[in-house]
Amino acid sequence: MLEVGPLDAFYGDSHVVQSASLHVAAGEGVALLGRNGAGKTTLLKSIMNAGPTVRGPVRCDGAELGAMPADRRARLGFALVPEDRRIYPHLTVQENLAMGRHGARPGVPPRSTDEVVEMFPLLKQLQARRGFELSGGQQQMLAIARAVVARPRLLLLDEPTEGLAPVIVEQLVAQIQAIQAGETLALLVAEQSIWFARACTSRLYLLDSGRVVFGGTWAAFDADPGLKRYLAL
Amino acid sequence: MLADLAGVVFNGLFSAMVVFIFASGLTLLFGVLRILNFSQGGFFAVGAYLAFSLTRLLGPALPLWRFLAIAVVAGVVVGALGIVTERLVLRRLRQVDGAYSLIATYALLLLVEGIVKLIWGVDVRSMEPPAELSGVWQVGDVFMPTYALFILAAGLALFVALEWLLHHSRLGKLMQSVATDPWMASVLGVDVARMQTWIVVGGFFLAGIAGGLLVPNQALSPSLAGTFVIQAFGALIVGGMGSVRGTFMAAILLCVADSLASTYLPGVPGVFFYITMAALLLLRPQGLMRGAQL
Ligand SMILES: Nc1ncnc2c1ncn2[C@@H]1O[C@H](COP(=O)(O)OP(=O)(O)OP(=O)(O)O)[C@@H](O)[C@H]1O
Ligand SMILES: [Mg+2]
Repeated sequence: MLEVGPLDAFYGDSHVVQSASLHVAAGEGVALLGRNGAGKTTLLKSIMNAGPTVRGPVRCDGAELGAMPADRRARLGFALVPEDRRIYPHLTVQENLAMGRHGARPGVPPRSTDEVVEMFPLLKQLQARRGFELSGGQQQMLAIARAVVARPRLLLLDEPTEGLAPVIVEQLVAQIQAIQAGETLALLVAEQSIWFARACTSRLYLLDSGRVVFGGTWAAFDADPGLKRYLAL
Repeated sequence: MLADLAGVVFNGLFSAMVVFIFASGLTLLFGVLRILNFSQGGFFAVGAYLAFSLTRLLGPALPLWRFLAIAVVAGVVVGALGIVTERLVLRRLRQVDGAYSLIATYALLLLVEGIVKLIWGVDVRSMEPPAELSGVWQVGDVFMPTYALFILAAGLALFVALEWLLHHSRLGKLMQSVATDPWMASVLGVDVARMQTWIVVGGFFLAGIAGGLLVPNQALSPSLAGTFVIQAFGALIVGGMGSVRGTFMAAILLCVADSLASTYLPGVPGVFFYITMAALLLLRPQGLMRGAQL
């Protein structure tokens, strides 16, 4: 459903992503791995057209999105959970979730708050809390919950496990798999945690200094120990 | 003595509401969009002149309802000018440094004042308030012009309406979200550009309706807004840059202090507004409602 590239992304003069190509099929889980500063975040933002200057095609179901702004991509079914979470501090958990409704696709009613809280039980007791009163882990959970409110078709997760306790990471895997069991949700996950990435995806891309240096299955990745060097710090 | 005091406070409150009505649009624009709109005064004058001309056009009688309707029409017309201004000027200022937007909106002020001069000339005009608001109420020894009471009520009503809109309505929550993190709002599917256009329209509507409501008892000239502008910016700054609640309280503090000081320390009228402003800023450099939302 998503076809990217060859795509170049820039911040001002710095050429951060260099002719990167990748694709994600409907309902498929794909991981994006690479060192700090490799360009994972920049690539995810480029797919959303939210920040970097992008050159090169991003296609959704074959249609080139061109200069389509981020909000329309959201309403096309793209959802990005940024690495810094960006919970609205002054809004309650409920109100933060309600913000997610703006990305609803035409004709697809968004999930109700009850439904989302059912999926992420951790949020149940917190509904009336304000964003700034939440812990880092709670914010991360809320950011993901907010992103699925609109029933996206493609979830772009940027380091979702950063700062989460291992138990919570396991829960997160289960929650994502539960959503995918219910509807067709494609996943593109930028991660440092190989364990989480492996649990949610069937393929991966390796990014190094803005270039895609490997694309293939986890089996192929494991078969080539030399690839690990792209992950070492 | 006591009656004097009451009268002086009443005058201060009246000026405060005049300043607040003028500053409300300014506060909205800065609070949500971080645009310091110098041209607000020019559009205020457009609203005032429009109200003046419409009143003339519709004949000598001016019932209260027509006065109000004309003010709303002035607000709507100026709001529509807001759409044009946003497209041509303000939208281009989003990505640039604040200093540029100050210069650009100042240039816009000069332009609008020039256009007002071209259309309405440079003669000073004036207009009576509607008959219902022309009287004087007497409570004890205090005389209160009905028009001043009306402005007091209008300022209060505007404050309550804006507070409700910004803090209790869904639209207000959305506006606050766009104000605090427009990037995330757009990623979540909010059409931030359209939202910003509507906020500009709202701010300009407030400038226009302020012109319509405040035109009676004023010497109507193209630079009409000059005096209010500086006081309104004072209230905006003391209030905490973009908090409606802060601007409201600052307008009251500054104007009542000024009114008291000008009465009991005569000889330097109008200076105490600024002295109070400096004092408040020394006490609370971030403004009254520091860090608060809108
Ligand atoms: N807003 C920006 N302006 C300029 N350069 C930026 C900006 N954001 C990122 N960069 C640069 O782009 C490069 C790639 O950054 P990016 O955040 O995409 O990497 P990443 O793979 O997500 O890293 P991390 O694992 O640390 O999140 C880095 O060299 C970074 O310094
Ligand atoms: Mg990153």
